[in-house]
Amino acid sequence: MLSKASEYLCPCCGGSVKFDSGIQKMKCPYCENVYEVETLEAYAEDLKKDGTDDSEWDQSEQVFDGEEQGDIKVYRCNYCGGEIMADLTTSATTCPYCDNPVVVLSSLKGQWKPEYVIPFKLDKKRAVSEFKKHLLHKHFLPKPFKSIEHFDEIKGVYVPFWLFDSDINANIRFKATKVRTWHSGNYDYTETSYYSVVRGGRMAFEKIAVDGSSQMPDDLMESIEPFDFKEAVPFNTGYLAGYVADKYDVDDHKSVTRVNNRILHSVDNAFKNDVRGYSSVKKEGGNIDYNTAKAVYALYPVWILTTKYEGKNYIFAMNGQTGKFVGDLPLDKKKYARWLGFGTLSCTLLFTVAGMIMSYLAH
Amino acid sequence: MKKTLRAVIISLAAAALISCLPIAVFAEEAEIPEETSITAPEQTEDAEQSEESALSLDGHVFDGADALLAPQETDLNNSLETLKSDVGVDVKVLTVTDTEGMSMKEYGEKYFGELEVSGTGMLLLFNKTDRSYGVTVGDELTDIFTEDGVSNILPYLVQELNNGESYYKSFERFATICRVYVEQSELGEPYKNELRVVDRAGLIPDEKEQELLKKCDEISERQSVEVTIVTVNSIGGRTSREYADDYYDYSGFGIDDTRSGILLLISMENRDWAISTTGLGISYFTDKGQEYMVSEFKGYLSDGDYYKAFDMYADLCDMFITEAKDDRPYDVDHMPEHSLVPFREVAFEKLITILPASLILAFIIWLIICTIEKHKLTSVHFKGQADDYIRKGSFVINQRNDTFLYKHTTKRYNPPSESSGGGGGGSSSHSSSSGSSHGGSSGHF
Repeated sequence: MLSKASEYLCPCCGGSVKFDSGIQKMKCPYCENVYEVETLEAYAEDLKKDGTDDSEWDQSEQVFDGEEQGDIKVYRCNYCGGEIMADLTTSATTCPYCDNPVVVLSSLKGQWKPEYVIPFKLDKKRAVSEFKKHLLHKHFLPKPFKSIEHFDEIKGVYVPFWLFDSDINANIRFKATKVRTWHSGNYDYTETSYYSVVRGGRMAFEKIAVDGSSQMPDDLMESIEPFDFKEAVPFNTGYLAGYVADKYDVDDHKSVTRVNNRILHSVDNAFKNDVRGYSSVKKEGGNIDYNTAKAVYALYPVWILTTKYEGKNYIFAMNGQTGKFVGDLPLDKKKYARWLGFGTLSCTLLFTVAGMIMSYLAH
Repeated sequence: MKKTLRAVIISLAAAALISCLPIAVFAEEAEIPEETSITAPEQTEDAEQSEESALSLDGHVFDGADALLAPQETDLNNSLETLKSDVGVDVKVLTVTDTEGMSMKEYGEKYFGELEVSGTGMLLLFNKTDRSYGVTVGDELTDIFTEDGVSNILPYLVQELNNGESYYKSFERFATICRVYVEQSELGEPYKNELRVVDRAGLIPDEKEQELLKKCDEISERQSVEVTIVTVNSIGGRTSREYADDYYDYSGFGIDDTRSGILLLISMENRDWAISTTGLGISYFTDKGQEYMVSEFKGYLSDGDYYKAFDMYADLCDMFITEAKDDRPYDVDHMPEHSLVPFREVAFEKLITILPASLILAFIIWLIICTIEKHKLTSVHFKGQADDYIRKGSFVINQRNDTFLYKHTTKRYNPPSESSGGGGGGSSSHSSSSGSSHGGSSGHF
C-alpha cells in the first residue's frame, strides 16, 4: 500500500505551517504569516503540479506487512528524513525528530476521505487549564494527583466519527394504570384501572455522532458530546496540520447498532412523555421503523490527556469545540473513610447536644 | 333442725369451754324485703338434710337457713378452706332463720364454741329472717379484727346485700375482707383504716413514713380527695389491681359519699405497682394522666428510692387534683408542661435514646454526602440516548389510542383508630369485687 503524506509549506519562508485553532487559520510558526486553509491547499496543488517530489512520502518506504507488525507502518519525514512509525489508522501526526506536522494523504483518500471536519477551536493551553478546573472541588481526589503537572501525553486528536441521519416512524404500545383510592366504612379501597395506550408518530434525528475509532473508548467520546455540527466545514487536510488524526477502523455498519439503540431510548422517552394522566406507564411493545440514511464520515476535534498515578493510567478528554472536559479520577479511600468517620462523629455529637438541649427545654 | 343443733351443743360442750371468751360484733340494720322473710315450707326438709351433712365439723359452711344452693355451698367451703391454708384463719359461716330468743351476740358466742371454732378462727353468723350479720372473733385474732375494724365491715356487707347482692356473694366478700385484714396485719400491726400511708413491706424508714403520712393527710384534707399509699410484701392470689381496689374499699377511705380518692399499691412479691381510683378520682386521674404519673416516679421505684417515689406521687396527685378542679383533668391533649423529676436524673436515659438516633441520622447524612462527593470523581458514562440530535420540531404524534382494558379493586380493613389522635383520652373504669366502681392501672417496676 502506498502512502502519501503531505505537509503544508509556508509560501513565504518554506517552513511547516500549522492550523491555529485560535484564529481558525493556518499560521507559519517561523515567519508568523497567516494563510487561509484554502489558499495553502491551492498552493500545495500548485506545488504538486510543479512535479516536485518534495511534498510526497518517499515511494520506497518500507511496509511492514508481516503478522507481528501488521498495524505498524514506517514513513520517512520528508522534512528531516527521520523514520516515523505510526499506526495504520494514523492519518496525521507530528514528526518526533523535527516536530513538523505530517499528514498521511493515503489515509485521507477515497473511502478514507472525511466529508466534514469540525476544526479545533480550543488549544492545548485551554485543555491544561480545563484539566486543572476539572480537579477543583473534588474532595476525595488524592492530594498528589492535584499537583500533577506532567502528562504522559497531551494531543489534539481528530477523532473519526460516523454521523447518522435518521427518520423514524414509530408505533409504541404502553400499559398504563390509573389508581383511585377511597375510604368507605371500615375499609380502604384501591381501584386500579388498566389501559392499553398506543402512540404513533414520527421523529427525526440529525447527525448522531458515533465514534469510528476503536482506539478511543466509546464512553469517553459519548461523554464529551455533543459537538455542534453547524460549525463543521467540508474536509480539508489543512486543518489536520499540527494535530493527530485517525482514520476510522469501525465501519458504519457496525456503528449503526449503537445508533439505533440510542435512538430507541430517545423515542421511547419522547413517546412516553406524551402519555399523560396515568399513575404508571410501562412500555409493552411496538415497532420502530428506522430510516437511517447513509452515514457521513467526519472528523471531530478532541484533546486527549493521559497521565499515570500510582501505576494506573488515567485518560481525560476535552471536546475541542465546546471545552467539555471529562475523565474519571482516582478515589482517596483513606480520605473517604476519614470524612465518613469524622463527619458522622461530629454530626452525632451535634445532634446529641441539640437533642439534649431540646429535651431539657421540654422537660 | 333445732334438736339436731342442740345435740351437737351437748356433745361439744367441753370443746366450747376450752376456747377462751370470744368477742362478738353484730349488725342488724338490714331491711327485710318481704319476699325473703317467708321461708317456703317445702324447703325445710332439704334444709335439714343439708345442715346434717354440713354439721360434720370439718366443713366451713353451716347453712341452717338454706341460703345457698348446693354448688354455692361447695364453692364457699372451698374458698374458705383456701383462706385457711393461705393465711391461717379458720372462718366458719353459720346461717340460721332465728336465734332462739338469744341476741345475735349470745347466739354467735354459743355456736362459736359448739362448732369448735379455734382461737384463730371466726364465725360469721347470718340470720336469714331479718338479714342481720354477726361476727364472733377468736381471741387470737382480736388484734387484727378489732371491734372498730369489724364494725366497719358489717354495715358494708348489709348495704351490699340490700343493693341486691346474693348471700353467696356476701359471704365470699367477707372471706375476701378477712384475707385483706390478715394480710395487712402480717407485720403484726393491727389494721387501722385511718392511715393514708401504710408501709407494710417496710420500704421506707419510720420517720419518712410519718412525713409522708403528714403530707398525704394534708393533701387529702385540703383537696377532699384521699391520697393514699400502701406497700405490702404479698398480695396473695389476686391481681394487683384487685388488691388495690379491695384495699381501698375495705379500709374505709373516702371523705364524702363518693369516697373519692386514689391509692398507690406497691407489692414487693413481684414488684407490682397498681393505682386504684375511686369516685371523683376516676375522672381526675385519666388513663393518660396515670401513665404520665407512673412514668414520672417509676424510675425511683426501680432504683429502690421509695421515699422519693412516694413523695413525688403525693406531689403529682396534688397537682393533678388541682388541675382537674381549676381547669380540666390532665389528659391526652392536656399534659403537664414540665416534669417534676430533675432533668439530671433522666439525662442519662434521654442520652441513651438520643445518642443512637443521632448516630444513625448522622451516618446516613454523611454517607449521602460522601457518596455525592465520590460520584463527582466519575464523569465518563455512556449516553444511552440521542436526545441531543433530535431535529427541532420533527417530533409529531399522529395517533393516540387509549383503550380501557379492565380494573380491579382491593380493599384493606382500616377502622378509624381509637387511641390515637386528640379524640381519645378519658378514664376507663371497672367494678371491684365489692361492686364499687374504680379506675386504675397497674404494672411492674
